[in-house]
Amino acid sequence: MSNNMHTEVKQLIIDTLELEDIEVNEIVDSEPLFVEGLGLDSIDALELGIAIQKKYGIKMDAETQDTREYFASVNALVNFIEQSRH
Amino acid sequence: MSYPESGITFCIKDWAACAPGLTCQQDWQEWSAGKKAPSVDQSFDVKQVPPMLRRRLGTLGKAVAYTLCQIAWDAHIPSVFCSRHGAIQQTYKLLSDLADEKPLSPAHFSLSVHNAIAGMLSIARKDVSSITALSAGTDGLWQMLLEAYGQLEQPGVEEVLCVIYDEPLPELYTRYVNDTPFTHALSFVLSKQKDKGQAVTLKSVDLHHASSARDKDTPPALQFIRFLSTDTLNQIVSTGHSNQWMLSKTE
Repeated sequence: MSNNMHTEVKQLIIDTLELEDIEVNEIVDSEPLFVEGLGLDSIDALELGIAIQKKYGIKMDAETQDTREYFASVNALVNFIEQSRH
Repeated sequence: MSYPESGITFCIKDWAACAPGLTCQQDWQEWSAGKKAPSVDQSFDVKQVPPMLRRRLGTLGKAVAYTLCQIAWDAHIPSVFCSRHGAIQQTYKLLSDLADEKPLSPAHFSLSVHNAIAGMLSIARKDVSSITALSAGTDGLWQMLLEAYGQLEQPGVEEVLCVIYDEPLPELYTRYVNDTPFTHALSFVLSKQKDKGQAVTLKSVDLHHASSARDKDTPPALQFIRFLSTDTLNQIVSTGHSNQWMLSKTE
């Protein structure tokens, strides 16, 4: 279940951010998404926030420090989505 | 602005144009002669643009990047970018989402300015030279040439990069304006020195003279490409509403 969720989130990242040259299995669950690792930027964070809102109905607050942590890695993002849905 | 009575002469040092299926000067010679048409394949190979920047360029941005890769990727000179409608397909998508009260894409919104393509490519090219982004209705080509002339008159400026590009309008708008048959981009380097390529003279002409030779059906940028790629075509005239301009090849 959780594994499927990881794949789903990775696919969402690829589709939303138009990462045309990157495959699901190239994104490592625990690696940073921003700056190092995948190398995403602040506009990507906003874009991803909207995609998560659309797909899972979860609204993220751009102002809180927690949001930063939710975007730390695929693992963190999956945890956040699963917790927010319950 | 005053200009010499005899016109303004400068040199087109190098040029590159691209459209789907038309990617080199040979292709454009054949297009000009009516022997080749644009294809449906919209992809342009722009590997020189780093992947994380490349994904933010739409078809139009990639067409522009393609022409810059050919002639001016490492040229750090002032540039004039000109487009009548800009990335209109992207603009239309944003406006549609607004009308439907859907959240806007932050990435697309951040690039919804007229100088977005020029800006992104300046990052990719690591070029900090000045950039001007113009939109001047049907007079774009001519206003771009005048702007480039103005910049060439600045002390220390020997060359100016000119880039003109447009893409077809979304269907909703075509009943009002339908002036771009296919996505196209043209880049060329204008030089003050008369011996650096094809010398051309830009002149203001009277309306009667101009009207006989006007081609209202072809976008000015495509007319200009035809002018550059056809040896026997020695002049083009403006089709816009303001001053009438003529560009001629000079010996």
